[in-house]
Amino acid sequence: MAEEGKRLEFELDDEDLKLFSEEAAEQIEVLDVALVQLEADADDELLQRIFRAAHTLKGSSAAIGHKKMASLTHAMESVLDALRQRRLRPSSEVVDALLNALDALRVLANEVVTRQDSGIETQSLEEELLALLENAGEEPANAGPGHGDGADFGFAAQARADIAAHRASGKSILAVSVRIRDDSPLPGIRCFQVLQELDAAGTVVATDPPRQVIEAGEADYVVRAVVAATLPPAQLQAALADISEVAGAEVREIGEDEPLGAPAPASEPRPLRPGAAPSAGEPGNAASASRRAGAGSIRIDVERLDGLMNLVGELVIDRARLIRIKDQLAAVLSGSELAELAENLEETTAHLGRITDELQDAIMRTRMLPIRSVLARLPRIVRDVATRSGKKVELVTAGEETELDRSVIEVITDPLVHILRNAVDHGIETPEERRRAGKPETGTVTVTAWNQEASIYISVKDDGRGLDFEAIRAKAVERGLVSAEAAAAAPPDEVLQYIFLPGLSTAKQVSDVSGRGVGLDIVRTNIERLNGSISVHSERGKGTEFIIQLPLTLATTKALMVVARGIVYAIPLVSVTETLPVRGADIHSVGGRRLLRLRDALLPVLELAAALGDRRPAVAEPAYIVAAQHAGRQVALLVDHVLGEQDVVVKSLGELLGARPGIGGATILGDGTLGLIVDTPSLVGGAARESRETQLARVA
Amino acid sequence: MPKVLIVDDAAFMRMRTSKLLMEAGYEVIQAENGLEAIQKYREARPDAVLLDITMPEMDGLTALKEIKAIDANAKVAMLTALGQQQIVLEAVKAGAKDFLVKPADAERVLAAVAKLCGR
Repeated sequence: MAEEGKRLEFELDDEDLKLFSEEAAEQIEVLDVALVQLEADADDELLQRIFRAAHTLKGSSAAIGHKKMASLTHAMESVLDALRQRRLRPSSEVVDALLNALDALRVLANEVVTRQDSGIETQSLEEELLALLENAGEEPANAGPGHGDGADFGFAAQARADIAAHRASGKSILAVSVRIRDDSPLPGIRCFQVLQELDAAGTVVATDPPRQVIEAGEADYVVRAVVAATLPPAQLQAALADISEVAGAEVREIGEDEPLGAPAPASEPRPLRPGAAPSAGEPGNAASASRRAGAGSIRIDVERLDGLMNLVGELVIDRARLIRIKDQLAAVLSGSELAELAENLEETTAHLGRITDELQDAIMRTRMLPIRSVLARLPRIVRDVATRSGKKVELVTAGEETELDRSVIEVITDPLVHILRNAVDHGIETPEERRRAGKPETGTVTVTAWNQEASIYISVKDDGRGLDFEAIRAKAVERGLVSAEAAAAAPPDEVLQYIFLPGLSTAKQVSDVSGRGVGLDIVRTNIERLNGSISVHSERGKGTEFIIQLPLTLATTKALMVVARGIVYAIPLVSVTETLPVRGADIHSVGGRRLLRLRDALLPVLELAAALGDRRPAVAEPAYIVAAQHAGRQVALLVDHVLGEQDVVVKSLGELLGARPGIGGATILGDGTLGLIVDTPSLVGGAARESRETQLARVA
Repeated sequence: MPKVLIVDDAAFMRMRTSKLLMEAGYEVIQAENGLEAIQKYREARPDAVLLDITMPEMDGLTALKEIKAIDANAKVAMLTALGQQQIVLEAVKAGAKDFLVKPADAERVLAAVAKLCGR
């Protein structure tokens, strides 16, 4: 029996480990997506893809001596093989068993990284899988794909004219069928070797899969072809059988009167590795185009890209320094004979600036990844939640090709999953309710991603019951978040914003009343901390749509640079609403607190440096006010002066200073000193906690 | 006795494969990288080459092309790790006769070498 925490040894070095983990993660992802699709539509291609993924995992785990993983994948493979051959139907029982095994596979694959026994129990999973096989078998054993050796040469029908011409010139027409061993690690390349051999033997008239698929190394385990050649069939057969890992080769001459079989169904090549999830609105060509481009692309280690990004960050900082030096030099040299030198420097600095911008932009682009990997995880989540809550839900995703920065991909998943769960759990009605409302029993949740300017947008839209505005109003008043009058007077748009208020949606029963779940305030805070935003639209009985907006990258941000007590702070521009001089501002003292009246709103006034924990005495009277907002609430920040806008490279404070409330990170300034990046959400939150009454000053 | 040139920067893999082939009656020559492989190929004209893909100095694919330039009939099998499919495909297009995915079991290594040597 496994001993948890025990050290495990595997037969692989660090480089292999990386490849192993990458590949394992990839194949597990494929399984995760494809297994869920299985219930809905178990076409041959899908089954083949799933089988291959399990097969690859089995092969690589066996190669490194991970017996437990190899044994579990073997059991999965047996079930998948039965599915592939139609001896077993993909019932939800079967899919459940496979998904459970997949969850265990994840843990087992991770053992290779940690080299510690996770203690996970796989025996019962294997038994469960094998039990499925025992119950199978009664159904007709229909030859699955990959077993049709030598059967139908219909794919060659289109080449009939060529075949006749070759025959006329005295060549014999050979039907070739080659199968690669099931356990061959790179069957696609073996298929290519088969093609090479056929090309050497004569003229290849037609192949299945099509030639370009084989040449791309993307064929499966079987190649069939029609070849015009002068050599005897037995000789070609021997040559083919001599290729490593060929399980069987069949070559026979096709007689003149022999039909080739039915014409191939449409000449379109089968999708090789179809897109991850069922997608709506995705232009079919985009996916295949990107696959074709795959041959000309390389994998780059993420760490290297991060390194490049850091280097460019340094360049950006140096550029800012150079500009300062140039200004100083120009001032000193103004009017002297060396003034020309300063001009020279100015031109060079400007050029360097442009190049740095372009370089930064180019590297930013290389860090971009399609959102596909995030969206691919969603079907599984929807299935799980729907099963648990007794809903019928179809997930539609679109915009898989939308690109965003790695750093954003890492943080987008949690809020997205949160909202998606809520949509299924609370948005979509039970099949019965839906029937009564005259809707189809199966609800639809649509997740769409798109780019617009420097942002990525993700919409999660359901066709469920919509939000209950009256319930939200009542709950907000009951929780003391708004006054009864304010709630009654608030237009629907504003009422919708209540669902993001802390305290409203944390109560469990609210989800039953309002139809929406837990902790949306936290989702909003997390998104806004990343300089993004979230909005919601809802119509009673029709459904709800959440739209998340995030910047394309988190590596740099636009900020307003200000000085407070001699220290430079960067306030992210997304949170800044306006700046104004202190002189002439309408500041009142109410109950010992200072409030700024700005148009219709009352903003709590904070001295920025003091609010961030700077205990030193002020050197000068603050001369400017920066109004900053978060979650619809504003604060007025007093600063000494405003320096201007700037792109800053965000560095984590990390071990340097440790976490400090109100500070979200640091950036190196033009003069080499550290500038602190202000975390507006926590400043606004703090101000709100300090003065409950200012909540009334909420600005919609 | 057929001569086999084993090219791999990983000393352990090189030794393991050498031992296997010597026990099976082959004469074995070793090289640590692509440059050394080309030099040894010129000198010894081996009957078969097992050529690792990822190596310092000169990678396997470049070495393969150089060896094929010296001897168009050179019989080369690539040694590849998981996930190098595109490079392997390129190598086969560039004239590699066969390939072995590491870690390959003894049976596969011996079968591939026997085929390369025409045994």
